[in-house]
Formats: sequence, structure tokens, C-alpha cells
Amino acid sequence: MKHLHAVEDVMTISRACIASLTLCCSLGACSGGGSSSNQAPDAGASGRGTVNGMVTDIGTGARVPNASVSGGGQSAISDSRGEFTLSGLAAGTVTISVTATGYAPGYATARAGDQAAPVIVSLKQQGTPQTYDATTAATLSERTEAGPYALILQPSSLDTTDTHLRVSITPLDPTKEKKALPGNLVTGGSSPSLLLPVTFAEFTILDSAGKRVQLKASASALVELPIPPSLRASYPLGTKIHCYAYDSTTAAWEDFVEGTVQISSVDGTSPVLSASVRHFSWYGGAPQGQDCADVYVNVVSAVDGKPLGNARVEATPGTTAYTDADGSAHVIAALGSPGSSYTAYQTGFDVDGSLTGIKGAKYIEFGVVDEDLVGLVKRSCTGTAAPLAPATHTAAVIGTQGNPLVIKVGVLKDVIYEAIATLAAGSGGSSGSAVVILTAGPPGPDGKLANPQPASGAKITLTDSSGQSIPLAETGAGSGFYATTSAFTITPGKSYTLSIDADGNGSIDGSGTIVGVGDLAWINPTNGANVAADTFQASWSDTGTAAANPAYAPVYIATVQGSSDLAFYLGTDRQFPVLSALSNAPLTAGTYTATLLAFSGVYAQVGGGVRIARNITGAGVTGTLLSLGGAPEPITFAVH
Amino acid sequence: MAGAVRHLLAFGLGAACAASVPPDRIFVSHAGSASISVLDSSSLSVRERIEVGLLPHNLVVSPDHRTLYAALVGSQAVAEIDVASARLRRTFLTAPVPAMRADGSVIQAHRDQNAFAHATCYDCHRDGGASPKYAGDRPFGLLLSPDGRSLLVSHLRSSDVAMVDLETAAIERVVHLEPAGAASEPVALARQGNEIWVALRPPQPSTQPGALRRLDEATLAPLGDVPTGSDPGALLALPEHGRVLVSNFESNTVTEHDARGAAIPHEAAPGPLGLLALPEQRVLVLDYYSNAVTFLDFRAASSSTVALGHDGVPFANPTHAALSSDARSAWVVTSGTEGHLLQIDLSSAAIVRDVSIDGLSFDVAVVPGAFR
Repeated sequence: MKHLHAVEDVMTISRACIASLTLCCSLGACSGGGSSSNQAPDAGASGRGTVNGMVTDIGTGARVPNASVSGGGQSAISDSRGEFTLSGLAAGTVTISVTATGYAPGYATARAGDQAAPVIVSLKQQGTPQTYDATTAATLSERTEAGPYALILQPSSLDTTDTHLRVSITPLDPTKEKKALPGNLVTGGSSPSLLLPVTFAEFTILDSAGKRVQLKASASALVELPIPPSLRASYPLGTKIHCYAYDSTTAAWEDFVEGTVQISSVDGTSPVLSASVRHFSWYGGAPQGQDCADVYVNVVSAVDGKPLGNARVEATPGTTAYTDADGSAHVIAALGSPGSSYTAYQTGFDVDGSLTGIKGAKYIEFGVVDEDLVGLVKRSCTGTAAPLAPATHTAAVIGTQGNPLVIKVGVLKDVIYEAIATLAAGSGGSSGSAVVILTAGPPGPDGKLANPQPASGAKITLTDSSGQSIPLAETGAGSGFYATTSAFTITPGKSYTLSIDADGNGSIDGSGTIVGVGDLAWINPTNGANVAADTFQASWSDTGTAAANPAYAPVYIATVQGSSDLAFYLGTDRQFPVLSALSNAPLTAGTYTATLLAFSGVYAQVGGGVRIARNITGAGVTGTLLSLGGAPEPITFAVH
Repeated sequence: MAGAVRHLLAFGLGAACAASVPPDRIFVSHAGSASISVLDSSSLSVRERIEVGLLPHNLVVSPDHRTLYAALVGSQAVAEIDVASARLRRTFLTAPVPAMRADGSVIQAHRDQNAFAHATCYDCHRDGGASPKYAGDRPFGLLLSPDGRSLLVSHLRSSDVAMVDLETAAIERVVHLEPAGAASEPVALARQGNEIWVALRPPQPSTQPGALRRLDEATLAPLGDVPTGSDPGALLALPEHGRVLVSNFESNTVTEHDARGAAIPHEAAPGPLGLLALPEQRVLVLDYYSNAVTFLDFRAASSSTVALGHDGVPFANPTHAALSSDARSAWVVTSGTEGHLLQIDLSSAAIVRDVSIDGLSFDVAVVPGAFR
């Protein structure tokens, strides 16, 4: 029941238990993912004061065409492949702003100099617009699996009298979408300090004419940003967290104030970071990191292993650097943050067509490594950006000068890959399993996957938090269906990262991380029980808690259904007071059936249901990685 | 006062545009990097960087200009710096090291390591050290006695005001301030005649009102409360007016208050924080959220706001300022993630020099005299 070996199983559970949770999969004839003949693009970096970039959708992985890009006094529109070039730039740091219809504004910085600078700007799809009358008090919110994001406005606090405003709250969970955060979360000066993102959102208020609206000079507003489940143990109620607003004029996070973790005023249960704001923009909480490490990286071509110079390397969370001619770079990475990753990419022009098949075509080489590096000597997150004196490490420690972290990069193709992946933890003597359905196709006019076909030839790897990994094999030629084929214990409560080299060229194109969900069992009620309605508290156990992983926070869906009444719970607690969904009062007496389901993944709450969001991200790869818990058999009980 | 906003048109670098610079030593607290830097006013070079403890914020200078005190908000201590040598002379606790937590449980590590013998929580609570990194009752407001022999320290977390004897570094007296409604955090101190005024704010964020608590200077007994806004930022005594000026961080105003409850608001720009008394009955207001400063002129009953920026890029988040020894310039800390120290010529209201400093800096103090 729990160990899913086929997509049809997933869809069955989806239909049976999560009416509004939709998993879509289209399978057709196989065209194969293919691999490219790739070589180090040493001729690609060209032009003084030029930035070559790409705009992507952090949620879908799609390239975003028709985005307006500006920076350094220059502007451009992203082409059908989401790519753009800003040229004629003065040497130095360029602040890049990107706007696109339906997306929150995105920002990035790039280093313009003798060689063309690469940059990838990830945009987040804007939250659902809500109407607001500026003369009224209102709490506007956007709900996700982490809890409600809220903006609390006092009457007449905005610098407008417009009564038909549109407010968009765009949530961003840094544990899953860090790359869409604008700029660098680093304090500057001679003693820079790394900041650890906790919870963020973008707030946009537009008037009837589409113009951005801000607060009056004398007014402020309150925001509430949920603490992601995996970080709640680190930031309990009452914790003070430093908050920042992104200032596009300084290209930095400014307006430092303290916020406080408290209970959401919207749902009364979720822990949220509450703080005051004076400007509507990207806003969130990011305390200073405590433990960091110097990480040495070597960027090489996935095809021939040649080092790649002038590649941009981004540690997340951490600093950004560019490789030297030997492909080497040094970054500072914050330790202990869920989902650490190291991304490398470079852009250029394919002078002879050997990389892309098109002479003069622009190309992007990309690779990512998702790994919590173990064994590195800790350093303070505050202090000089230069590496400290070399620390003595054993040869096995990855990320040191003697044993740098290798990031393989390969040319991104004009193909979008989409993965639907499920992870089933082991139980009762079973080791567990992982399955992936990978499809590919060309981008449609909107940049998203069109006409998907099974994608063969991919290299897909599942890695646990201790670094143990197993490849997933394609179960039939041309099937695009990949699965674990040998014993690899998937432990409930442990974190697993799925890395996808979609075209099989040796570089990781996208990845996602999930926690394996355990087996569930009802504690109260039990099958056949007779419970009192006015004190009815439902509760259950979950074998995933045994791993004591702070990141373990699956979403539970419990339903209690009778002939004339029902109750429903969706959240991360393992208990809830059972009240009627019809009257919000204790259940009416009668016989009820209870079902229970748990999953680990990303969702947005839409209307009365939830919509699964994509959590496999990268360049040209998107998808959904889910872990479903072992659901108990439905139980029947009485309420008096 | 009528408000007016203008942008700085004059921005000159170097001595050509600057008024003559007296040989001052400039101390800047760097909340983000546990240190205080000491700059030479002539060269604007950092001559010393002093590691003091976590979250150094407010600074005060002794009346004889020999000693600088810095509130270490994250280390429950005050750093005492010898001005002449620019060295940390000592650190002293502003509240005792607790033996138990709020829930009554014993803090075993404090017992095992005899934490009670330490003079700052920074000895143990720091990067790579004991958790939590930021420890204690959050000392924030500082006020020296006129003779420089004692220091009042307000604590945000405990609502206590401690009087520290500066000869022995012993805590002589502790007064607990009862909350005024939701307002429980004593964030700033000022001396007005024979009274001590304390700005109390509710824990942030909040829209509940704050209060100004008047205490008897000799006994620290409460004399009464004056209502104020939800987020009072700083206090400045105006002896010639018999009033105290408070910056209303939650708004765009600063307000004069007297003991009878009269309040006179003045327009500034959003997020007023630091207040600096200037010659000729003027006050400089640091407008944190506006990247600006406001000049209040009490004689002319006017205010003028000046944006801080260069080539269209603002100097973000000004916090506090200090007067040069010749009273012709103000040194302004802008505390954005790219911090700056600005010299503003007070006659022209122009930025005449700027230098990069650590991000998340906070306060500045000026001591006359060059480095030896």
C-alpha cells in the first residue's frame, strides 16, 4: 500500500485521499533526452562590460521570455529562450532588475569586466492578487504548507485614496527556493557577515492604474511570515530574528529591524515571524550565520574534464565567486542550513557552433551540487571574505584546497525536462524505493514544457544526508521511467536529495530534497472506540519522528466523515481538536470513519484545497518530488 | 514647523570641499561584527579595531574624554575603552550571570564553568561557543552621571535599570520598571534637570502606545508617565526648553514632551531614530527608513529634510550622529548592509566626505584630539 512502484499508484492515492491535490503525468512515445558533444567554451567569454544572462521560473524551471531586464543604464528583453544580453556596461558590479508579467520582481548582481559575466535570474510567480480598499483595515494572507503569509494594514495607511487596490503576497520558502531571493544576503563593509534566510515574501500593491503604492510617510504595516517547518526547532516562539527589506537602489538588504516569532494571527497555530515594514518589496528574516566554512570549488566541463574559467559559483546560503583560469574558486558557505547547494554556470557565444550546432548561438553551461559538506573546519560567518589560513583536513574531506568540491557543468539545451518522483521509506523489512518519471519536450510559447515525451538516457541519483547514494536505473529502454533497483534503505525521517542529470552529459541539471515520511498509526480514536464529542482530540503516531531530524515536518491530512457531519485537518501537528467543519462546534453524535495521510512536499493552499508545487528546480529541469507516508487502514468509531 | 525636503546637490570629496577638520578621534560601534573601530578624522583611516563583544550599540564618552563606554547588547555587558590608547580597558556585566532559567531549571553550564566569575557573556557565548550566541538581558540605553562616576544601563529584556559604579564596576542598584500597558522595554535614557527620563516601548512589532517614564534622579523612584508613540527610538534632553525630545520611529515625527504631558510634534522623515543637539538651538534627526536627515531649527520653527545619497544611490539607514569638536560638522553613521560614515558640513548641510565602514554599524562618538 505504501511502497509505490508505479505512477498509477500515486495517482490512485491522489484521487482517493487528496481530492484537490493533483498530480499530472503524460506519457507518450520516446524521443530520448540525448547528450551533447560539449567542450570547454574558452572562446565563449567575450566582450568588455557585457552580461549574458537567463531568466527562469523558480517554480517550473521554465525559461521566461519577454522579461524586461535593466542594469547599468542598459536594458533588454529576454528572448524566446529566456536569454538576454546587456552590453556597453561600465566595469564593476552591475545591479540587474527583472520584471515579467505574473512574477514578483527579481534582482541580481553581476560583475562586468573584461570577460562577459554570466547571470541567471530566478523569478517567483506572484501570489494571487487580492482586492483591497485603502480606507479599511484588513489582514490579507496567502497560505502555504508552512503557514499563512500575512500583510496587516491599518485604514488609510497607504499613500493613496484608491479603493480598488490589488495586493499580491508572494511567499518564498528559503529552504526550498533560495535562488529566487534577490541580491546577496551578506552584510558588507570590511567585516562582511553571512545572513541565513529563514522566511521571505514579496509584497506588491498596485492601484487601479497599475502603479505601485507605498505607505504614507507617517505609517507602517505589520507582516507575518511563517517559519518553515524544518526550521521551527531552531527558531521557537519568542525568538528575535533580524529582518531586512531589499532595496533595489542599493542592491542590498536594508532597513534592519528585529522581528519576533509568535503565533499567526491568521490561523492561530502556525509560528510566524512578525515585524513592521515601511516599504513594500522583498522582505524577510535572516539572522547572522554562526558557523561557516571556507569551501574550495573546482568547475570542470562534464564532457572532457577541462577546467572552466570565469564561471560564476554560488554557494547557497553563502557567497558568490568567479573561477580563475584553473577553474578554481573560493566561497564561504553557511553550515547547518537545510538544502545547501553549490551552483556553477557560465554563458558565452558558440563561435563555431560546436557546442550548440548553431554558429554564434548563445549558450549556458550549468551544473549544481546539492550537498551538506561534512568535516570542514568551521569559521566565523563574520570577517574578511578572504580565506582563512589553510586548515588541516583529512584527505577525504571535500571542499578543501587539496580536495576541492568538483562541479561539472554542461551546456543547457533548448529542452525542458519534467520529473515526477516519489520516495517511499522502508518499513516492515522493506528497504523502500524511489521512482522517477522523466519527460522532455521543447518549450512552448510561454516557456513551459510542451508535448512532453519520455526522456531516456538521464542519470539520476538519490543521496541521503550522510552522503550515501544510489543510481536510479531506467527500467525499460525508452520508457523514461527510473527506479531504485537494489537494496538502499530509505529511512523514515531522513532527508534525501534527488539529483537529475537529465541529458546524461555528466552535469547535474536540477535537484530536489525531501524527507522520507514514515508509517502512521492512529492513537486516538482507535477502531471501534466511542469518544466524547466535546473533548475529542484526534492524535496519531509517525515512525518518521524516530530519526529526530529537525527537518522532518510532513503535512498530515486527516478526515473524519459521518453521515451528517465531518471534520478535516491539514497541517504539521500530529494532533488536532476535532470540530465540525460545518459548524465549528463539537461533532454531532453518530458513527464516523477516519482516514489519515501524510506527505512531504511543497504545496500552496488554494481555496478549500491544496495544490502541489514543484520542488525539483534547476536549469531546464522542473518537477515534483513527494514522499507519501504509510497510511493506516480507515477506522470506524462512534461519537457521543 | 513646516517641513521641507530637498536633496543634496553639493557632494564634494576630499579637503577641497570640506570645512577644516579638527583632529578628532571617531569611534564607531559595529553591531554586526562585535567590534568598535577608531578612525582618524583627518585621514578617515581606521587606526584601530577593538573586539568588544556581541552587538555593540550605544556609545557614551566620559566627561573628561578619557573613557568610552559601549553597550554590548548581545553579551550583557559594557565595554570600557581607554580613549588615549584605543584599547579595551575592561568589560563589566550590567546584570548578574543567572544561575537558573526563567522556568526555574538550573543552568548547569554556568555552574560547571563558574560563569559567575566572568565579566562578560562574550567569554563563552560567541561564534562557535555556547548557545545561544546572544545572551542575557540586552543592555541598551546608557546614561553617565554628570561627574562620570556612575553609569545607568537600561535592559530591554528584564525592564531593569542598573546603576554601575565605574570605579569598582559593581552594580550598585537595580530598579525594575513596571510596564506602562504593553510598554515594557526601556530603550533610551536622558537626564532632564533632576529627573531621569526613560523611553518605554512595547516589544516590537506593536501598535500599542509607548510611554516616557520619569524617575527621580537621586532615588530612581517613578514620578509619572507621559504617553508617547509605539516605538520611541531615542531621547534628547532640551534643557533650554525644559522638555525632552523623543524620536517616534514608527512615524515621521519627533515630539517635544514636558513633565505635564504637553506634546509638540515636529515633522521629520519616516523612521526618525538618532537625535543630535546642534549649536544655535538646532537638532539633527537621523531618519532611518528615509535615508535622510532632518534639521530641526527651534528658533526658526522650521524643519528641513535632506536625502543622503551619491549619484542616485542612497546611503541607507542613518542611525546616529556625533558632533565634531569644532561643532561645524556632524559625523553620521549609515547602517545599511554597506555601511558608511559621512561628514556633513552643518552650514551647508552637504556631505563633504564619506568612508565605507562595516554594515550594520550603529553609533558614533567623537573625542577631541589627534592620535599620538
